[in-house]
Amino acid sequence: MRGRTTVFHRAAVAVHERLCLPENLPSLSLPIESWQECQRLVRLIEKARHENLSAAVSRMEADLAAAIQRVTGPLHDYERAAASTKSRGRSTTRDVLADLHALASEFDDFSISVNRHLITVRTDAVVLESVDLGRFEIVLNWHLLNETGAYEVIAMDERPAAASDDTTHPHVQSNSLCEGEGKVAIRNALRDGRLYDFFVLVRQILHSYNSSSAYVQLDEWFGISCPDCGSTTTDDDSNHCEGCSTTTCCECSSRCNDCDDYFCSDCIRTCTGCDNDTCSSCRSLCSECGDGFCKGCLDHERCSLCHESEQEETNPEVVTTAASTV
Amino acid sequence: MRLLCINNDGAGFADYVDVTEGTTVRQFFEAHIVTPNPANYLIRVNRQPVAQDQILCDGDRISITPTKIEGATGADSMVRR
Repeated sequence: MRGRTTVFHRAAVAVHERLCLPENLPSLSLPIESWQECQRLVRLIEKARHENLSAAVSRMEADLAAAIQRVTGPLHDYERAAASTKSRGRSTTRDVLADLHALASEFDDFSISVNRHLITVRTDAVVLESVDLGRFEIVLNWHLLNETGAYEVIAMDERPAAASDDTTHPHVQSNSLCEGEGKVAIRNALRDGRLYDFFVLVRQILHSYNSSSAYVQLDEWFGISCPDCGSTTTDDDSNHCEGCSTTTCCECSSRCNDCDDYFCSDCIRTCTGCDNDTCSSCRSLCSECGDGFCKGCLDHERCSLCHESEQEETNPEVVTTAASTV
Repeated sequence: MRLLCINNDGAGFADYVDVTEGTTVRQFFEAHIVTPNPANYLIRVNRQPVAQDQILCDGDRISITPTKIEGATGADSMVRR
């Protein structure tokens, strides 16, 4: 118990020291050159006024106004940044210590590595819409508190989406959480050193599901079932039918020879003339015989067979002569 | 009296708030959340779960965190190590 208290205290001190680094303030570089430009312009304006050069005076007054802005702008920026840093309620060492003790109560698995600057909690199993994604570790590196990539979300039970080994949660890919609605609150919690709030926020995101913006949707987590053959496939190994919008496996989908889009077996037919696959949009019926043909096999809405038989009827001699020549 | 309130429903800023003596957790919650259904929030006072009729004290730290916070996808929202 005493050992744990010591570790907590050392970690709290280290986190607080990190929070006190003035890394969020813009670097202060006094605008000396702009100020010297202002002084020069004031001298010239005085001189021009003395010599009644009104056009030059008004031109240099405009230049002076611009130069003054170049002086005051950076100073105001720094003033604003310093004020917001002061007022943002940054955690004290005691606050951080209280957060660590609260985290130890809130999470069954909680650990600190002072040497590696890591705080780790482990969630309960995350089950979303009956899909058990297993437990996750949330690992915070307090040396990176004010930077992107301060933490990782690591799946403990290896139940990634069938379509992507890197996607361990609808909102986690390559151990990175896409924070969505929680982004600003997480940023503020880390910035202020509110570790308890940070870990709780991340845990609550892991327990939430936003189907409209998921790396892999939960109804496709274990793959996609092909409606034609019943086999399970992944997004990469399937095609979306342009005719009826169903998703079928590659074996059960065909490409239209005319438009190059993919179709399921219900939405594609074989051209009577050339036997190529043709979708219903590209396939037309011969106005004479009523059979279905691709675009290339119809001429003036009739197939080649109907053209030949018409030619035979209207000019039988040509056909006979041609036949005797052959 | 004065409390530190962390409303994680949105930006999650920490702010000091003045409340009258005798304010309960429930009254404070209903006054600070637009659609106050306690079932949809984790409410902690001084980082501990509390009863809704607990009376708040001067200097308390109250945090309100939605139970459901929707994640997303997209490079702009991603945090990478």
